Amino acid sequence: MLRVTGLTSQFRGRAGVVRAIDDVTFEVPAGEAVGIVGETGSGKSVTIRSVLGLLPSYGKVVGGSAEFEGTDLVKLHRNRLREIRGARIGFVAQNPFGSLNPVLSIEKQFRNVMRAHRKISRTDLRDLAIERLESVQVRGPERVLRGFAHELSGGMAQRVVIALAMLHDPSLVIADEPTTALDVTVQRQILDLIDTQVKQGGRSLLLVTHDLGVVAQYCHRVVVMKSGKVVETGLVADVFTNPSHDYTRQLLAAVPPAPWAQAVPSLSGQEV
Amino acid sequence: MTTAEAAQVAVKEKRRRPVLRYVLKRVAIVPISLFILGSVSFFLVFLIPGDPAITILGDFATKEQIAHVNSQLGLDKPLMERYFSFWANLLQGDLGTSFFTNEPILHELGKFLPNTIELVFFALIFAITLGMTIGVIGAYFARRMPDRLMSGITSVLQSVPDFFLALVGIYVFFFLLGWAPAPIGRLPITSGSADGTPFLIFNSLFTGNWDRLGEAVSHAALPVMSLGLVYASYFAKTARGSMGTALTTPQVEFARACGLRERTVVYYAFAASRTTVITYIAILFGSLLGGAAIVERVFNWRGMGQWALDGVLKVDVPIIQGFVVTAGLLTLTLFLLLDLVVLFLDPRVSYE
Repeated sequence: MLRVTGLTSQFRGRAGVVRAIDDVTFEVPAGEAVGIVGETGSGKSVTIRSVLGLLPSYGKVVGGSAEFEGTDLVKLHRNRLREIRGARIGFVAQNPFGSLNPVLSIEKQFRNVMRAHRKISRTDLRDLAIERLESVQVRGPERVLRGFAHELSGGMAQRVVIALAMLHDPSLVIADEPTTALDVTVQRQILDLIDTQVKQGGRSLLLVTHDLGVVAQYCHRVVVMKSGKVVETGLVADVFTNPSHDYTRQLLAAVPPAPWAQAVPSLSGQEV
Repeated sequence: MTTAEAAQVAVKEKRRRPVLRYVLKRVAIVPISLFILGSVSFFLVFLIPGDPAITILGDFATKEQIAHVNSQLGLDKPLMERYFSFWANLLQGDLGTSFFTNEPILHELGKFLPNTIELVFFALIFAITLGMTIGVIGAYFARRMPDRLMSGITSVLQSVPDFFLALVGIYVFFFLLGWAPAPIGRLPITSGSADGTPFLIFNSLFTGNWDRLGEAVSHAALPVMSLGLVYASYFAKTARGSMGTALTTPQVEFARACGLRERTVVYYAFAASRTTVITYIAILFGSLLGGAAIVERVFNWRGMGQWALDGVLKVDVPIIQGFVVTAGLLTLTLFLLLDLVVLFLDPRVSYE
């Protein structure tokens, strides 16, 4: 599915060239969920942006490959890469309010994402958008479509973002800390929602998070990153019970002792 | 009806009415601003050094002559009486008559204001087109070669005074190359005065007078470009800043991640930052109404800035008052329009 090999990226800054990620290698097998964990600045976000070709203009992938369904995304022409982004690979970003355009209606944003990859009539699109919004449990989808991002709550906005990311039925979903910006009560619902959407569609998931509890619950495999390098990778059960790297042990030790991931009840049915 | 539905209806009602309330509130401020504007224009004039009577009569006038002229101009009456008659006349649309030419101010404005509006209008169109292009290119290629090139151009444009650019333009394009006509106003001498046709370019365009349009446009080219090039730098800076910020926002990254084409992505960023640029248009238009004075003088454009500048030098009080009131009124109208446009373009503007 996605095989990242020796991926290395650099940023040009005032202080010269900085290597943000170095020789990152991991794999997302078809139908599996892989979590990337690590502290802030460990290169998790840079890794997925390197894969998707979304580095800022002063950043650059300088080595390695990211093979997705047999194509190396790193070497791919930007127009071909654009055709894959949003169509074959869906992206769920950290801040749902930040992700949506503030001055365009939600319906317009659905239309733009749809038309980036496929022609569709206005009425067909409306029907599809409503159906997709319903599938991510958005109440009153017609009203949401007419409205704007600032009228939505954080949880609702992230549902809209997920619906947009899944619009073209991607085979891989990349989520970058999808719940960090949300209320604790909503985090669980959103993770469950992503999990359901991924499993129902038989998709793969690459989940970036700094929350080991989330990885334990939702992922098959884990990639532990530190200072731009992968320090450990393997099945969640193996890595968590028998960490081979000191840093992984420190990360695990930093988790509060109670199994609190299970202790937070899902507040489904509550308006979010 | 369930509570939820009732709440939805209530939200809708609430959403519609504040817009109207906001607009009414905004319009209600206009008379208050006008009152302040009129009063300021009346009293400010007394802060200007110089005595109109002496300016008219010269330095060797006798006391009797000065008193005579002052009573002719009505300057011997008590201040408050003059203030009230100023307002009484102003509300009837009478801005008084010039001390020197004895022409009604309104009549003079009718000659000079359209010239300035045309000049500023085309200069701003030119500035927006060029400035936005420079700014958007710079923002899109942030920190790379094109960005450095564009910000270099911006700095140069910003540091050259418009009248200097005008003089260089005349030297190069009129004197050396002979491409541009002589800087003697809106039309060649052979075509007579343009005073009889306000809004010369629009007028020629809509009446299909192509020969005159050609002459008017060729005479307008240099002044429009002198102002436009300088003011392009303001738009370039604004666009570079606001687009630069917008292009690094997560919404632009998400738009790219959804596979949107680059031009749609740039449009997303532009849509989120366009109100900044629109605000700048209104501010610059207001400041250019008088700020184009020197360029108008260089090209003998017979515009409002040039007229007001002469008025100030001669202490022609009614001209100064007429200019302040007119420019203020235009600016107020423009800012009102601006607020309504922003309200329409940006759903986030709160109506409170």
